[in-house]
Amino acid sequence: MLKKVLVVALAILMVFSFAACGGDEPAAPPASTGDSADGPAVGDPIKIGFVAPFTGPMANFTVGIHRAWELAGAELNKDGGVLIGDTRHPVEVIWGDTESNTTKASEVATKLVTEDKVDILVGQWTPETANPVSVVGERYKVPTILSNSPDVAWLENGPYEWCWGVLFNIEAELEEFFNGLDTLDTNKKFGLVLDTSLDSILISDILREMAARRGYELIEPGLVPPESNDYSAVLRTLKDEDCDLVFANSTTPVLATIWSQIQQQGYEPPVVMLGKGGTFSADLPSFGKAYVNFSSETQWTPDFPFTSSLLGMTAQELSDDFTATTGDSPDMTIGWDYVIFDVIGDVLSRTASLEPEDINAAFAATDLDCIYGHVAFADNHVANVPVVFGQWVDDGNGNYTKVICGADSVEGLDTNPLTAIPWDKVQ
Amino acid sequence: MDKKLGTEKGLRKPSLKAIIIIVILAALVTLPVWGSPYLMNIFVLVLLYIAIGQMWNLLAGYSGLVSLGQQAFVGIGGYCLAMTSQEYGLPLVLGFILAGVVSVVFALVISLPIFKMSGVYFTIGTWIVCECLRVFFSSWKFVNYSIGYNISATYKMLPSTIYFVALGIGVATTVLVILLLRSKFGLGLMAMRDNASAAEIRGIELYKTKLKCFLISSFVTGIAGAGLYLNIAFIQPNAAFGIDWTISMTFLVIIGGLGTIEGPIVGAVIFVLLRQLLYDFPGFSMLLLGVIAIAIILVAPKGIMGYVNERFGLDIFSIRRRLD
Repeated sequence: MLKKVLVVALAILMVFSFAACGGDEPAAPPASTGDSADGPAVGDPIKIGFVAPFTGPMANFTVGIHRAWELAGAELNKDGGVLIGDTRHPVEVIWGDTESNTTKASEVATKLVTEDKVDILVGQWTPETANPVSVVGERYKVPTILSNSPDVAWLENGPYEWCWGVLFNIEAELEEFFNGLDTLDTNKKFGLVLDTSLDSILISDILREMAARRGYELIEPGLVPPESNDYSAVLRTLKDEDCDLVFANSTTPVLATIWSQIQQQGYEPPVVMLGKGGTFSADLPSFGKAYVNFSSETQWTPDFPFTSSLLGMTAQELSDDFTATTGDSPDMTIGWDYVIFDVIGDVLSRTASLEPEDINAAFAATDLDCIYGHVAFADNHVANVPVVFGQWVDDGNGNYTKVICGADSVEGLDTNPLTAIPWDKVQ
Repeated sequence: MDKKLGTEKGLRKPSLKAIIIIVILAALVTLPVWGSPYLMNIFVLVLLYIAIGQMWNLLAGYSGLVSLGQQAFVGIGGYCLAMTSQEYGLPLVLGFILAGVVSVVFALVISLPIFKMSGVYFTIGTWIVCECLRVFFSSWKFVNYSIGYNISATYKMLPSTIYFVALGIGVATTVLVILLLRSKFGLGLMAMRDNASAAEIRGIELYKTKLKCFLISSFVTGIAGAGLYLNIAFIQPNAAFGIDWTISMTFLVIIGGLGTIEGPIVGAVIFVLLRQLLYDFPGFSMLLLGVIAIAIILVAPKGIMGYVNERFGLDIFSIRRRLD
C-alpha cells in the first residue's frame, strides 16, 4: 500500500514540477491594460531578452552592460514607457547568461523566447553567442538583434528573416591595419601567428589578397590549434624571415604567451599586432610591466565623433560616465552596449504594434545615426559599423592610452603615425 | 520467493505498472497539444539527456567502464548531422543514421588501444581520446576547422517535430536498456562489473562483452548527439567535444542513481529543471548546481533512486532476466 502511495505521489510531484515550469502562461506583468486618468492607456511591458556571456572567459565583455541599461531603461521608461499607437508600454530587460558556452547560449535563448515570451531577442558578443541565438530567433520567429561578430561568419548561415546584425567587416578592419602600417617605415614583411579558429582563418584568407595589393609580403608559417601554448617554431620562422610586422589573433592569455615567447627568442619586430584579445587596458598587465606598445584592432573609442540617438550623449560623455560608475578605463564595449539600445529604442518608436511582424518591419526600415555611426540594415540584414587600428602607448609608468593610427572609415577622427616598439625598454 | 520479492508483489502487479506507464506515455505523446512551447523544449532536453545518461549508466553502472570520453560520440553525432545537411544538402534522417554508424566505427577503432587499459587508466584514456578529437576537428579543413556549422535545415523545423525526435530517442533508449539488462547479456554485464575474474570463470567473455557494451553505447550516444544538435543547430569543436557533456551525464546519473534504470530518468529531470531555474541566477548557477549535487550525494550516496530503492523497495523497471 505504502509503495502505491509513493508511486502516485512521485507521479503527482513530477506533473506539478513540470507544470510549474511553464505549462501555463507566465505570470501576468505588473502593468495591466487600461486607461490612465490623464494620458494614454498603459499596456503590457515590452520584454527584451538579452543573451550575453556574463560569466566565464568572455565575461570581460559585459562589464558595462548593466549601466548601459540603467541609462537606456530610464530614458525609455521616463514617461511610463514607449508609446505605440495610443498605448504606453514599459520596457524591461530579462538577462540570459551564456556562461561563455554556445550550448547554454542556445538553451537560455530558447527559455527567454518560450517561457518569458520576449518581444525582442538580443545576442551579444562573438559568433559563440550570435550564431546560436540567431537559430532561436529564426526558429521561433522572434525579431532578434545580434552584435559584435564578423559579418562573413554570420552570413554563412543565412539568409535570415528575423535576425538583424550590427556587425563588423574583417576586410574593412584589415584595410585600416594597412592604413596604420603605411605610416611607419618597415621592410613590409608581414608574418602571421594564427590558429585554426573561425576569425583567424577568415583573416588569413583575406590577408593573402590584401597584403599583395597593399605592397606587403605575407609570411605564413602555418596554422596551429586554438589555445596552444607553444609558438616558438612559428616565431622562429618569422624571425629567420626577418619579418618587421607580426600579427597574432587569439585570446588574451594566449597573446600574452606569444608576447613573452617573442622576447624569449630575442626577436624584436618593430610592430606586433594582436587581434581579438588585448583589447582592454585591464589586459595589459598580463603582458608586462612597461612599454607593452603592441597595436590592435579598435572597435570603438571615446574619440569617435558619434552621439547616442536614445540618450543624446556623445561618445566621450558615455565614456566618462562608464569610468565614473565602474572605475575602469573606457573600452570598446561601451559602443557595442549602447548601439543595441539606440537601435531598439528607434525600432520601438517606429513599430506599428508589438506584433513580431511589425517589429521586424521596423528593424528592416532602420536608418539611424547613433553611438556607433550610421546603422541601416542591408538586404542581407547586416549593418556594418567601423573598426579602426590603434596602438597602446605607455608613458613609462604603465599608464596606457590607445592612439588611433588608421581610421579612414570614420570621418572626423584624428589619427597619429604608428611608432616602433621600444624593445630596449619593454619590461 | 524470497522476502524482498514478496514485499514487491503489490508494486509488480502488471496492471498498476502498465497503467502508470501508459498514462506517462500518453501524456508524452500528446504533450505538443496540451503543453506550452517552453514545456516542450524542456522535455526535448530531458529526453535527450535521458538517452545519453542511460548510455553512460550502461557503461559505468552496469559494466564498470567509467568513461570520461562519451562527448566524442555526441560531437561525432552532431557533426554527422551538420555535414550531411549543411555541406552536402542531404536529408537530416541520413545524418542520424550516419551519426550512429560513424560513432560505432570510431568506437571500434579506439577500442583497440582503450580496452588494453582498465580502471582509472581506461577513464583517463577515453578522456584523452576525446581531447585529441577536439584538437583534430579544430584543425581539420574537411569539417570547417573551428568555425563549425549552423545547421540551417533545422531553422524552419517545428518545435513539435524536434520534440517527437527527442521522444523517440529517449523512449527507445530506455526500452533498449531494459531489454538488454533483462537478457543474458545484461546478466553477464553485471557479473563482470561485480567481479570480473569470477564472471570470466563462469564463461563470460570479458573483452567481447565490454566491446559490445561500448559499441551499443557509442551508437546510441551518437544518435542522441545528432538529436541534441538538431535542437541547438550550431556546432563547433570546442562545444561539441567539450567535457561538459560528460559532466552532465555523470551528474545526472550520480544524483539519479548509478546502476538503476530509473536513475538517469530522475537525474535528467532534476538536472534539466535545475539548469533552467538557475538561469535566473547568472553568475551563481554553476556554484548552486555544485552545492546541490554535493548535498544530494551526502544525503543519498547511491543517488535518489538508489536511496528510494533501498529504503522503500521501489523498483519500477524491474530487470529480472529472461533466461532462455
